[in-house]
Amino acid sequence: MTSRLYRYLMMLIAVSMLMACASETAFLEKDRIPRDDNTIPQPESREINPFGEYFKKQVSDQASQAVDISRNLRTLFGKRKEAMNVNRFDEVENSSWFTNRNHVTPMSIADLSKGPDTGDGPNVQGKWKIISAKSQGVTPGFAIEDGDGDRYLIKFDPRGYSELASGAEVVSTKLFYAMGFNTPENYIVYFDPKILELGANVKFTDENGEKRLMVESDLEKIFEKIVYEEDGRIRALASKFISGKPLGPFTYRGLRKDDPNDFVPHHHRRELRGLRVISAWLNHFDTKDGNTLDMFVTENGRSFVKHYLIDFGATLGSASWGPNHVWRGHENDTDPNAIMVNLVSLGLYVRPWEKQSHDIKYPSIGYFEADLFEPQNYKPQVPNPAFENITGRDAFWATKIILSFTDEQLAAAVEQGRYSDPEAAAYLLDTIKKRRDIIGRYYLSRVNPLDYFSIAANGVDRKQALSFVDIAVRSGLEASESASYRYRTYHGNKLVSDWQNNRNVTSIGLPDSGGGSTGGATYWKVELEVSRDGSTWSKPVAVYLSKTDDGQFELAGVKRQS
Amino acid sequence: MHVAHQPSCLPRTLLWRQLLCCFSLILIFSSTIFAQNTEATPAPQNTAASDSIAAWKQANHSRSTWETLVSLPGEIAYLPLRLLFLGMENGISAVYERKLIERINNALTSDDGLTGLRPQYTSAGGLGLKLFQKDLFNKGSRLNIGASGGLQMRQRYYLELNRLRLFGGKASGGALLRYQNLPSERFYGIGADSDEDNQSNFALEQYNAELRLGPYLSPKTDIELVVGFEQNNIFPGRDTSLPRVRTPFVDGDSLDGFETEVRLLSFQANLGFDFTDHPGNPTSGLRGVVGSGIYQQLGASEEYGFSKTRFDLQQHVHLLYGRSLAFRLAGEVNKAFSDKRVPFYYLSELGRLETVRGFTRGRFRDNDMLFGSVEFRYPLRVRRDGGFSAALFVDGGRVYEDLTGDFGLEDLEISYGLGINIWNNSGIITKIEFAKSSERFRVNFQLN
Repeated sequence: MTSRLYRYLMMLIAVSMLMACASETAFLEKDRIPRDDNTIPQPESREINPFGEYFKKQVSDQASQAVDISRNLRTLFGKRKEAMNVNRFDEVENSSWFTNRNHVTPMSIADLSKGPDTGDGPNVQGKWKIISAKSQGVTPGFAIEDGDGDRYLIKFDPRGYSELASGAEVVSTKLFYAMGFNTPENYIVYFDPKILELGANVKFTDENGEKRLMVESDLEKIFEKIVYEEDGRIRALASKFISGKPLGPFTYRGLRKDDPNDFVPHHHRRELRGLRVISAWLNHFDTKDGNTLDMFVTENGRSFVKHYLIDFGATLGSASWGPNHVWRGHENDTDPNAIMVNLVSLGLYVRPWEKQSHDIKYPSIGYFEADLFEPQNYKPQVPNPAFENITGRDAFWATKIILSFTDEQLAAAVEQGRYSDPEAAAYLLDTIKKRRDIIGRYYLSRVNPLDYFSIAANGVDRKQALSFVDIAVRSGLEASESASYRYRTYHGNKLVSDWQNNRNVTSIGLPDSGGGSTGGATYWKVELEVSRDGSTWSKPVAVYLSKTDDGQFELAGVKRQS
Repeated sequence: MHVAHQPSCLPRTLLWRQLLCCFSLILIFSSTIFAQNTEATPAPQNTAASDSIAAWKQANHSRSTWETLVSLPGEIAYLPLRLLFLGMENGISAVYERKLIERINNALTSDDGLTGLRPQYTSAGGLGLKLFQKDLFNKGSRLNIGASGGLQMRQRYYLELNRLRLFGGKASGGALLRYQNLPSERFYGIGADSDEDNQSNFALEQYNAELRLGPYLSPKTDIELVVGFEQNNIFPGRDTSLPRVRTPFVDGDSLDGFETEVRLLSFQANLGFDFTDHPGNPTSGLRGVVGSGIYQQLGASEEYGFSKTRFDLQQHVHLLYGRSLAFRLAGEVNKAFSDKRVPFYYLSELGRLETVRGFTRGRFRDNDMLFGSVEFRYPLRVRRDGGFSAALFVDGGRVYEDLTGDFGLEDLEISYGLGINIWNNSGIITKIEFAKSSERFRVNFQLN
């Protein structure tokens, strides 16, 4: 029995080692990622049961992963399954899930401030007709139709924490949109409660969760829970109804079977895996399925499913119902590992967050800090299957996006939160910047930070050069003087030029192509590494080049070790 | 027959081995060939990239063949658990969709949350239900009606009214009506040197009524005068696997109160206080009760009469980051009036829940008792509205024939262990304790 088990284990190890034998250029042959906005019949709307989802993610998914031998072997050998929807340049292409924005083409301050907005929010001059409402929960809210016929979901800040949830929602919306995700239009509005009028047959969920028709006294009760401004107006978050037909949430694992355009398992989508780092940055801890939305939309004559992230009220220092608790981001809501460690350590192990003060300095910001922030250890409220499949390359991609935001852009995003206390706004901005830099320092020290490769021809002798950007230097995390780069070049498998140092210079001359391909191999490979202040060289990034018909080099792909 | 079948087993095993070897070789060779082929393949130009979803899906799988094969044993082994989890997931979803929790909660709790029904469990009373009514006559008052039962017709019923504000709020009071039938209580003899091997059992049937009245001081402090009536019937125990009390211990009428109906009238004065910081998970503050009372038998014989004085103090000391120490000191002294006696079931007792936890209930009995414990409590999971905490504890205690005369800390009965509490903002919901003593390992469980 023992020998049989031994043989099986040996076989597993042998088979798993085959992973290393896979061709290093296989990725260059990958088909393009097909577009996913083909016209399809409208899928059925669905609901995801939050309790079932909680059990699945917290219990059955964890158990399933624990017995997934191939996944565990991959993890053991540092070869985790890479995201499936990346192209040869290790990038995500525009799709119904994601649109490359700020990190590809830096957005202007005006564009970033505008975000997904197509207007100025609900018209506060005319009447607002309430079309549905809820009194359940700590923060009440209702849906309205304004004088222009536009529909919005109106949400309020928790009592005692004015500006908290509304500010967080708008700031995060601007940033998530600028990063490339689809988001609703969220506006901060100040309105006179007199403009509200109760529509006919308004469905209402009362404090006991019972559904019935709304009456005037229900509205009065909602107003009792709301904080008024000094001038009698009410500050609220107005989230515009997304155009199209809502189909319910998407899941972070698997496929939507009734959507033929949905062909990449969601837990293998880079934008959802990378969302882990992005969520860590903005403390978007509540990444449950329920905070996503699939919409059946028609754009440019095509009808397809578009995937949105919604409800950012529980981000930054806000937990929607009030300020965040210090444990958020450090533990899952029910974290068996943390509970077991606490139990076994007999209370002698004190987690760093336990030592943190619970005092809230700025009620409008809540609890949001950078001192204990460790992006690699960030945990959402409930385990997220896409996050659990993240690889170093996914994290690098997300880091690159996060570092694309300049201080000015972040200031513009925070300004959209319309915080009345400048000190509070400055604290929020400072914390977002600090967390951005912590993420940058962590991931860029583990993955080669050279990117944005391009080929430029020398106008005089037609010699071409490969240029690149050191993201760590560009984002100010490292000084350019401290950087040394070295590279070596291959033609096919043949080393044509061994390591050459290129201190401080982010452009390297390419070998004379001589026109046309030579020697059978049709690609060239340039491996680049970086060292800071003479420290050890980083892991390499390999840039693959091929030739055009006129003998010019062009980029064929990028492969990054993580 | 077995011998005849053996030869055919060997080739089958060999066949499997060969198949495995072939499989491995095929994988290795195919991988090598694949690797070589790719090196020789012309460089991609990305011009013939297919825009077909079907083609892409055919070329890209979330799991390769080798991953599927390697994972197969784990998948097969996990299948029963997967099905179980799937069933549970669907069950939970169904519960949510049908709003069963809300419905049960709504059914068990009134709209205003003041009236409700809750399950409860104690080792003495068994499993049962408790009906509560808050703010019945005044804010803060509480009516509890409970019924519970267990094996061998163990039963307990009670009606309890607490924190009544009387005389314009200047006084507070309460009342209790209780009936319990405990058919198999353990008895090991009397005295600190009683032997575990001498285990026997008896049945206790008890009727109890109390009226309490005292000046209202604060929500955290009670001073009460209590007038009580208790009727006790002691019978041979119903656990036939154990000897009845009469067998090893009772010689004639030497065990006071055995097989006698004893009705007692009692007058007690109690001071109770709770200055802890959190009812469910206290980390600092003092709480306790100090009381004294006299018990006098009603009826013609007036054979039993005694006084009972007790104290129970618990001091919580916050250390750091939610960790705390809880020191507890409790004692009880029973003094028989001259020419009267104390029924044995009114003697001080060690071994029940919340005394020396590694011993069975009623393990030690005598006139007096002294008990102390130290608990180190630490959080396991703390959230806004509740959490789990653990406690490492050491208990020590002794019964004495006469505490004032025999006082000494030698021969303390010690137990130690680990407890886990699940609490919310109102109090402890569930408590489970694993305790070890020189005699046994015990698990204590308490719900609501």
